[in-house]
Amino acid sequence: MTAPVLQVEGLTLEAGRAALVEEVSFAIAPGEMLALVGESGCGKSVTALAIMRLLAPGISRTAGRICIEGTDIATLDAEAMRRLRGNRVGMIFQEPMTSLNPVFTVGEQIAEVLRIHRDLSARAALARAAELLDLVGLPTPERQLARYPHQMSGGQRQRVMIAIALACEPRLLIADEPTTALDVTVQAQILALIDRLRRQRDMACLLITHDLSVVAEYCDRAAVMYAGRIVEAGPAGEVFSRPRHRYTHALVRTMPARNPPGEVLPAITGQVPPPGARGDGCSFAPRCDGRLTECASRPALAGASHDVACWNPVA
Amino acid sequence: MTTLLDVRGLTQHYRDAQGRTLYALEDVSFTLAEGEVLGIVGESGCGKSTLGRAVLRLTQPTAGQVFFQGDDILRLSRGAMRHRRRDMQIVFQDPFGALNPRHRVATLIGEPLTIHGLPGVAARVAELLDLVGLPPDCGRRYVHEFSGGQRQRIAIARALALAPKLLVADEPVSALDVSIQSQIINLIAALKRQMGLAMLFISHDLSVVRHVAARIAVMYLGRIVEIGPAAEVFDAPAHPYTRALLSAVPQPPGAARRERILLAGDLPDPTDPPPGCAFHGRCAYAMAVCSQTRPMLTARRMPGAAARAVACHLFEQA
Repeated sequence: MTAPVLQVEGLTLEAGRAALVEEVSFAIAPGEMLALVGESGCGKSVTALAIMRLLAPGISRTAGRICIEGTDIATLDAEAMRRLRGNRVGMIFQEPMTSLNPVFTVGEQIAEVLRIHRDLSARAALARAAELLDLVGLPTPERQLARYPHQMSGGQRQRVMIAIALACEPRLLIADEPTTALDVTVQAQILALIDRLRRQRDMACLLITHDLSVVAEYCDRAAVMYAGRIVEAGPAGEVFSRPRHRYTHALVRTMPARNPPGEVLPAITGQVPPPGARGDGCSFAPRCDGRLTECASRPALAGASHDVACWNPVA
Repeated sequence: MTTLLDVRGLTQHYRDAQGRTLYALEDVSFTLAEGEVLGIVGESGCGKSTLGRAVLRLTQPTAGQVFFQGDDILRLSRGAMRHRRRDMQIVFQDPFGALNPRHRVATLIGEPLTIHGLPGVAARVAELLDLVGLPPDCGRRYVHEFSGGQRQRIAIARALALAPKLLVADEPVSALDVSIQSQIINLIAALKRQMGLAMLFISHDLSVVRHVAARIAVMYLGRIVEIGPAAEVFDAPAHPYTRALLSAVPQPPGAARRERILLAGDLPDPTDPPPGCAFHGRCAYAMAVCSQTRPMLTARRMPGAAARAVACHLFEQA
């Protein structure tokens, strides 16, 4: 395998004394799309912020390493980290409206990235911005440059965010719930776009999402997070068509689309334990119908290519 | 089946900040039987939430009639409407925004009973907590002490306090995580069976609607473009918009893929709807007539399918 673009090893993030993320490891190769998938509070978004070194005050990395193109980002000074963001690493967030500046035109915002990281002249930056808008599929790109974010639809704004993220041809794209705020027909357009671009540019892609169907359809590999840990990881199709961890299995089984209309859904009882109340054993054990006595101690994530952290995995 | 709700030509226009007319809802007609669940699907701005509110007279509809058990509720006096509201309730997407954080849960759930001057509030609140699967001691606590799923249970308990006949559920599970979502879907389905509730179930999530609704109405730019039995609409969508919408849904792991129809462009401007069929600019099957004449929503008998109403010129030759 070629050297990974992103390598996360044993990452642990804490807020006060509560662990938000524990011992998370994964790697993404060039051109590969990996999904970090899980429900609210499982630690997937804070993991993405740690990769950008954009953790909120009060949250710190207490163990582990994050390497981007072989460089441990903890060794970079603030200036070097700033050069990395938006340049080698692009980011897209859920709500494009709050990520775009309402008082600048779309053209100015794309050009700004190019002027900062590529030292282009104003005119060259605008010309390049128009090319990027064309790349992300916005019609009449020259005319779009003069528009303000509020004059665009949600899908168009997300295309602008992608144009900004791709402006400097990053090696890694981090997309945190990029289509959650969008309608389903627009979601299909945006995911198809991200998928095409990562293949064309051999760009590593980290997709953070709660939507299992999206993962199964667009990603090469998936890592399922529960209560701050990766509980299962492997080829995306396999993880969701033959889930082995009891949590993944229950999650797939409970999806309405997987059940005959009108029938009672096999729901998962109870709730996700909050940080600080996750105990020493398997965090899913209290909600698990395959619980054994061993589950009071923590199972390790193990396997050949399809890893699972479970004492009693689904056969 | 007895008709509970008969909506005819319901139209809702708004003025936007520039003084232009926004055509939120145009000439929407459908009926809902007692105990029936009608799913309303469509994307942002299609008018599905406006429809839910207009049917309950939470807005002042511009035109049309809403017959609830035979009375046009849009013509009722304020006093008579207030009385009628006991039979019709709504649950919203965000239960936190819908519940006053300064009141205890028991007060929130009992409030509809108090407003309507009904006796036995405490006993009914205890019954409702049990009905929605919350422990009895929840009544003394505040909304912020609960998770999203539990909050939605509280909102549902409150909506059911007066034993309504109609519940409008506007994206009731969209803000919830997958594992919590199925708990609430099961609860709603059980309540529907137990209480014989009729429901307008509004959601952008087609797989959720497919699961709970017997019939489905698909909306586009303020109008119903297709309505029919859920199984038929899902298995053999007729309107080209319905086909595109269904094809865009990512299939669950392991399921067969539908051939995807990627729609070009965006929803048209609702202050300036295109002439003819609102979808014609994005439709792969558009004909000359589609940009000139609006297709009516009329019942059509498709080959091998029961009666279904579709607003599309493609089905007019037959």
